[in-house]
Amino acid sequence: MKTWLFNPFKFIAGNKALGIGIIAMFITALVCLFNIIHLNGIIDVHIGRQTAAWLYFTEPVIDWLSLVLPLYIFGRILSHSSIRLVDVAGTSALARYPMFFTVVFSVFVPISGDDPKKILDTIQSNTTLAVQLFVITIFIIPCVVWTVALMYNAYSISTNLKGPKAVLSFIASFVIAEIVSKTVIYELVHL
Amino acid sequence: MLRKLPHVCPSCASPLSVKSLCCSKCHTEVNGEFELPPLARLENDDRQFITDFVKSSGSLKLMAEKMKLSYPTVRNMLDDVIARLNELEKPLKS
Repeated sequence: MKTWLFNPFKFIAGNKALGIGIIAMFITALVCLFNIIHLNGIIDVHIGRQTAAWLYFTEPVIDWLSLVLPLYIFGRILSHSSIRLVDVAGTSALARYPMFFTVVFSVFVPISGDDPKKILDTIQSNTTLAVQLFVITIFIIPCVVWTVALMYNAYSISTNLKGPKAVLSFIASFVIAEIVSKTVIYELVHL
Repeated sequence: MLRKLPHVCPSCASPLSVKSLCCSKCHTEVNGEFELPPLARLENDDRQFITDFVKSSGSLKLMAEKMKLSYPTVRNMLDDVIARLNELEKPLKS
């Protein structure tokens, strides 16, 4: 059970993982579309900015590919195994499936908007809202941690990297992916 | 019960060698000092993995299907066995 939750890549990788991952991404994007939620960063969830429908479906693909590329490059440089792009891409796609639960819990967030200062002021002046947000966060944070754990295990299995080499290259890939995905999505929105 | 072939000295952890071989039919015994090949010095699981791999015509894809594991998991297992074999070959080479 634990393996299936945190390391399903032991059993599923390659095209099969890619297929399941893409379906999960599409379903998550549908939930995002109907609830005005954006995944504008590899593990980012933002609520309440109305945009064109295509952006809801493009964002998770950008997030996913922004991570796949550095992971694959690091894998090719650091691993002695003959790694396949389809394994890195497939397992990374499947690793994003807990984002569905993150999005579902985010639907219940009682506040939304573009201005962080305004949101903060509203929360500070409303205790009930703050408590509601706190409860929802308790559900959202484990889902985000679960996603990151899956992303790391996906990388470790598909590139056969372990230990500090795997951890450091994963952190570097994660930072690169966050910057790239944010920049690309920002540019797309402001086209 | 399948008995494990000891290949490391329990006293000093050096590689063990074969001193005597005997025919189970006529009980002829051959004495000498024979080095165990690296494959024989692998753990049972590793030896079984190599046997299955050869029987699968060296196809990792087929191995993955048989073992109900993903392709990279099986490839990683093979890489680990290769690494252990290289380690075992080191004292023999020197």
